[in-house]
Amino acid sequence: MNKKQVGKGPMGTLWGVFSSVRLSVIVLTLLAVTSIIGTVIPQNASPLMYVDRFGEAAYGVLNFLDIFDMYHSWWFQLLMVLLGINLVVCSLDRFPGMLKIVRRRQRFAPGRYQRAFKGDTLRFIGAPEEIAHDLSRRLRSVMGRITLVGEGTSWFLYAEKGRWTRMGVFVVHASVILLLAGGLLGSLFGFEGYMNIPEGETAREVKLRGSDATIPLEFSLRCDDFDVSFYDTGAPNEYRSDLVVVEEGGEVLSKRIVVNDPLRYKGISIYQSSYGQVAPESIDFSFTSKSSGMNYSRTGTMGEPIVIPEGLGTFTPMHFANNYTFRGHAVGDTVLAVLEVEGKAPLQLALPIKFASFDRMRGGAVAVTIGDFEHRYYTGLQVTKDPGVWLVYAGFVLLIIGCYITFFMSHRGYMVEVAPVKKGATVTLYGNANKNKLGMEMAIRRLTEKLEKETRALEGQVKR
Amino acid sequence: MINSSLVLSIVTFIYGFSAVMYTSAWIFGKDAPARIARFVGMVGICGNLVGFLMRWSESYGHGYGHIPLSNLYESLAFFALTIALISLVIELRYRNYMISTFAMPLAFLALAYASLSPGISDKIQPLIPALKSNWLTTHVVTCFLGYAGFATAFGIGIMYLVRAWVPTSEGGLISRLPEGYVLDELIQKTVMFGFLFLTVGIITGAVWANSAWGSYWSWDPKETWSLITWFVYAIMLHLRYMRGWGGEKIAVLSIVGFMAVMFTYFGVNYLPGLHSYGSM
Repeated sequence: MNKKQVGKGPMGTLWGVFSSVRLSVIVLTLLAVTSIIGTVIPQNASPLMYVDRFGEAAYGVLNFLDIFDMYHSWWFQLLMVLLGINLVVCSLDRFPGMLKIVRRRQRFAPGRYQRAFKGDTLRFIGAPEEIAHDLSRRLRSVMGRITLVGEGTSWFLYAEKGRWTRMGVFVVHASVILLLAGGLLGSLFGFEGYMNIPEGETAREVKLRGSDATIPLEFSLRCDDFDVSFYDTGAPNEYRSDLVVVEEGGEVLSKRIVVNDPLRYKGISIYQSSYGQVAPESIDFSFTSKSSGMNYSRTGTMGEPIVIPEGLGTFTPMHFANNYTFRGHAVGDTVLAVLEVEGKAPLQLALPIKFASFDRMRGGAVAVTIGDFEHRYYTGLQVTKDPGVWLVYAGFVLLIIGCYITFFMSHRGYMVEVAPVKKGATVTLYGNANKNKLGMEMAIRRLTEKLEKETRALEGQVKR
Repeated sequence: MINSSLVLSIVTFIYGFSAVMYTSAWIFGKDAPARIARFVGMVGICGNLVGFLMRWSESYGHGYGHIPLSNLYESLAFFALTIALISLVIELRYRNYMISTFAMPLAFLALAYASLSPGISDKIQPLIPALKSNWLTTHVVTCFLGYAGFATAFGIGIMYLVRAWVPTSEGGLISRLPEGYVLDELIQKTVMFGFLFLTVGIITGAVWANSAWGSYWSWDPKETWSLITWFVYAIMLHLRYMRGWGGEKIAVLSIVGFMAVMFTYFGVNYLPGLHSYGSM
């Protein structure tokens, strides 16, 4: 918790609230807990589905709370804004103090190492001053620049490393602010939409996600070809589209895109996201009469009635549906049609392309099968513009660097005490660290062992 | 015929044996079983790595070579490898085998679940278009290093609570656990390790999503749960550094955090979204 409050009065209190770690913990907890809701309740589905699932009354309440699009709701955004303000105020509140610590001159006082980790005391032979000078040469590679201070008859070696690493936490906080700012910029000035372009055609309008609005691009897109390939197992291998950017009548850029390789032009990114069969202009139908066993072939177009011989009725193809679901089963592309027989109610027919004899199962007086039609794909493209993405990426880089500094680097201080005894001196290593104290303890222990070994090798004897 | 699935099944038992030896070292307070356990654990790690590499080369035999990190079976095998590796590294660094005593069973369980659960297919499947990216390796490896860090912290957290809540007798089982303050610091270190890698994992995922679908963040359940996990550990680190929390509270948080990790890993498969390991 921070100690100082800037002045008194409401501003000071407010500052105190926003600079508190308690607020960070509360906001982070709220974000974590509320985020769960959106993973359990499907987001942005159709109102019908929600009413079906929760009932009319509950739907009303949940809808009022924006639960069905909660990550874009005012209260969730508010939590993120709170987190942002908290981060900024916290950092502003603590930065000057930290800067002072980082800029402060190193203080050479044994008292500062009273609570530091202390290694075993070694005994060296020779004059204390010489030993101290010798040690400062030997320890420089580990401890950094060493300052020698004589106090009375004792000598002290001081060294410090990684003082700047105390700033790491500000790097982390700055990175999160960049992420939030980038997200905000993207949501204000960017868009996310999609466009379906049949092979050979050109399009310009992007349908925005989550609304019925469309916006025109600055350029047109033509899809020259779309192809989907499959593995032997039947799983999809690759979707690809050959796209051409057309601007003022001329072809500016052409690119073959696949799922992980989008086309980017003028700040707009175009991604392969889906595909489908274009509703064909005309389809060959075949009608089999149950009573006579005769087959009649006719070519039909959507909405145009076909009169079936033998008085079997009038058949009208109505609609070509991609990925149709028949009684809960996905049956793929399907022609939906209506069969009208005099004296009977009109009958809805579903004729999946994949299952030719599907209509026979109906057991009617006439069975309809689908013959030939022109196969043509459309490519489904996701189109996005996000001017905030570079801020977000900068935030990513800073976040990784900041986390590394904060977690794995520390501000370490060393002190070596050389105290005179008969015919020599005792040498004791002290170590301090603002983080990873266990690591410091081990470092001091290892350094002491190493010194002892080296000295033993040098002097051929050791005294503890 | 020897194939990667067989090798990994054998490694399951090697890890199991190592875990048993670690536990007996703990129960009997002897060093010899721990030395055996360490050796056996290393053999297991090598076997696990061999299985991983074999599977990689086998996928080329099927005509669609890719790094074996694409379904639940493969990710569990890799998860086991990272847990075993991290715990052994800590054991050697801190010269204390108790960490592996609590972590090796987790590696065993992960691999046993992969090898024995009837719901998990060990068939090598081709990559669907969305996964065909150079980001796949970096993203999955960093995420699992993160998970493994948190798994280790979870094991140590349990150890801490056992030590704190079960009455200690001189020379008894509990007294052979490392000192409380060592465990406390180890929880913190492993959580920081996990947090860094989770961060990198989320970031690589976001960059990948942006290059594949044009949006670095779409609140898909897996994304959201990884963020929830990130929040939980961020809260824990703040409480620790800024509010001086330690000991039991942090141990409990390391367990709560790991629950979030487990949900991110497994639970999300039952929710709709891009990350569910399909039909497994």
